[in-house]
Amino acid sequence: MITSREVKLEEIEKEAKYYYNNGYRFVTETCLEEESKFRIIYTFEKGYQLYSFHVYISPTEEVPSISKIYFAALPVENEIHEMFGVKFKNLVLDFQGLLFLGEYAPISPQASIEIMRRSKGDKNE
Amino acid sequence: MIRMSEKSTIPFGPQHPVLPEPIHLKLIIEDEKVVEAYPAFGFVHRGLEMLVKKKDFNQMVYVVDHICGICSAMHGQAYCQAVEELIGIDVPERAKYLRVIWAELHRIHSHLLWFGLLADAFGFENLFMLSWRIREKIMDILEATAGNRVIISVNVVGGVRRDIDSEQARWLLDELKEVEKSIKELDKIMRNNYTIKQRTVGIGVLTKEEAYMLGTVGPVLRGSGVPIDMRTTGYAAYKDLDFEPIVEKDGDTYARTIVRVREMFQSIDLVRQAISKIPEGELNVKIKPNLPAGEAISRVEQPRGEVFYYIKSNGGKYLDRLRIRTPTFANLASLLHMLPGSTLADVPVLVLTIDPCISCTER
Amino acid sequence: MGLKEFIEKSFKKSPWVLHYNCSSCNGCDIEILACMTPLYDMERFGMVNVGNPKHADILVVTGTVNTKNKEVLKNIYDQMPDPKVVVAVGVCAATGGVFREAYNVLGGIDKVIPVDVYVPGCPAKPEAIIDGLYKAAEILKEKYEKMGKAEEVLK
Repeated sequence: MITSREVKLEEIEKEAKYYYNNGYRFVTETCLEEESKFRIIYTFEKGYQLYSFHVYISPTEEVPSISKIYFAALPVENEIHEMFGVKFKNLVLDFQGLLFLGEYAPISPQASIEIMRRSKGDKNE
Repeated sequence: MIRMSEKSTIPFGPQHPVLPEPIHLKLIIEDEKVVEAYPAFGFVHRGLEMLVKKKDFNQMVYVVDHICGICSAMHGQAYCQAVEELIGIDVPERAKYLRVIWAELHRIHSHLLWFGLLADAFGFENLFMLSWRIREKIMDILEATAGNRVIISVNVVGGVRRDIDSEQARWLLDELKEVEKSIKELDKIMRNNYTIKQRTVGIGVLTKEEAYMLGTVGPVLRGSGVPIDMRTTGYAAYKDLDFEPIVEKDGDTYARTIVRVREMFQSIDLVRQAISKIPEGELNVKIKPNLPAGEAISRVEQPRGEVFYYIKSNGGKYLDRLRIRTPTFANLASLLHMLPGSTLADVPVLVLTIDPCISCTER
Repeated sequence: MGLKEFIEKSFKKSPWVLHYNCSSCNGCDIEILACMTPLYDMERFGMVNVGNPKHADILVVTGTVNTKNKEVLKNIYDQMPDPKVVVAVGVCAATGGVFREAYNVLGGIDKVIPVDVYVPGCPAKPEAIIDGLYKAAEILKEKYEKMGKAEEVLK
């Protein structure tokens, strides 16, 4: 069972820094679509125990990236941006939605809420 | 005079002879040194996480088995464990032991496969052939016990689908004896061969702190001296088996190779222990057709490291969300950390040192 | 044996193979690699796995086509010299298999390039792959005869 506490959007970086300074490993971020909101769960690990916190964001909000603190968060955040359309601020390396998906792939395929559009290309084969 | 320090870009992949799988790296080279590396993926991306909306939770076992053909049994195991935790059922003891046996056989074949590919990457084709010949014995065992060579699909929610009877177990142990003898030979070659040492010692060094904080998993992490192995948490039948995580200090490619070779011996030992301790009993329990609402997490040690499954259900037959953090996805950060500063000739070895499984990474 | 027959025969006996993994699960890929190793030993038919499309006669494709790699596949196919044969290994390459319903998957590889031999199985067994490759070698010979390349070489 997963236990996670809710934090505010502004506190993400502070929380991540706390975990980093106390020697927690980064496991992953999980994005969920709950009603018309996104919930991002941040998971960390120390001594086989998992510690999580989550944020609720509305589709238009930008999430501060923790990839400056945890480099391992970089591919995860790029993936979430691609699959759900959630925007991240200050990514170390921004793939601009082309990490996994090609130019002709469906846009933000794992979310039913549409945030971003690509100007060219369509998914018709 | 021609200036030699100009930067040039060299594309690596997606169709590259070293790798059986497509991965694309854009390497910025100065002289012979790699200064920057940008990966590009997506050649294997299928979107399996979203199939939960179209297939019910029992059918999904077969889909997650196809995330990766090399560690398919462990993907199925991790998924089934997550669903079992969500429903709140306990799997019969015999099924737990059988899961361990198949998982460890997969670990041996995966490490042998990797060892062959690494040898091929630095041009030691003979060793590639040798380790793949040993691997065929494991494939025979898998075919005899589970019915298929690569994707065995033995796991179901609630247990396993097939049994290994005592006669088959005896035959399996005899075969394993042969395999152990051959791996010992491989071990000897690895520890004494000049070529292997030249190409692996001191290549792709990750210190203990770096490996820990980069979120590295599996043999790469243990090769850097951090004793983290998910099997020690005691899922399935591992709580009753006797083993220690295998750790090497140096943190280079050679140390990771030693970790993997030693893990093969460990896996053989674990299979033997599991066969000697396996209790009689049922293979699986009946489950209800509908899931309760809730979330569950499952973590399983695969050949490449820890896999992390997150599932969420709102009730009904279909899961709401399936999230898989595969080991190679976690190791990407350490690969990107290792590449700058290496020479171009070492790039194939560095890519292979994390044992990349691209179809896991992209799902 | 005349020179013409000799060229024809040698062309049939040793086709070079290029393997490309579209979006496969690795299962078929490791079986293709297993075909080259001592137990199955594909090389006894003179087939060598090469990395360069311009050296290859037979293209072996595993896995389904997705939106990103369809251009790579087309590109590789176009680079191969004529005559060429395409072998689709596994159900995914034939129809899309278990991945058919996924959002990024287009279906079998025959949506992008023409396929000559389909090898069924999930994953296809090495025996089946060898059988398929042998059939491909025969088709290659037929195509070669149709093109009349032997006469051209002898000119």
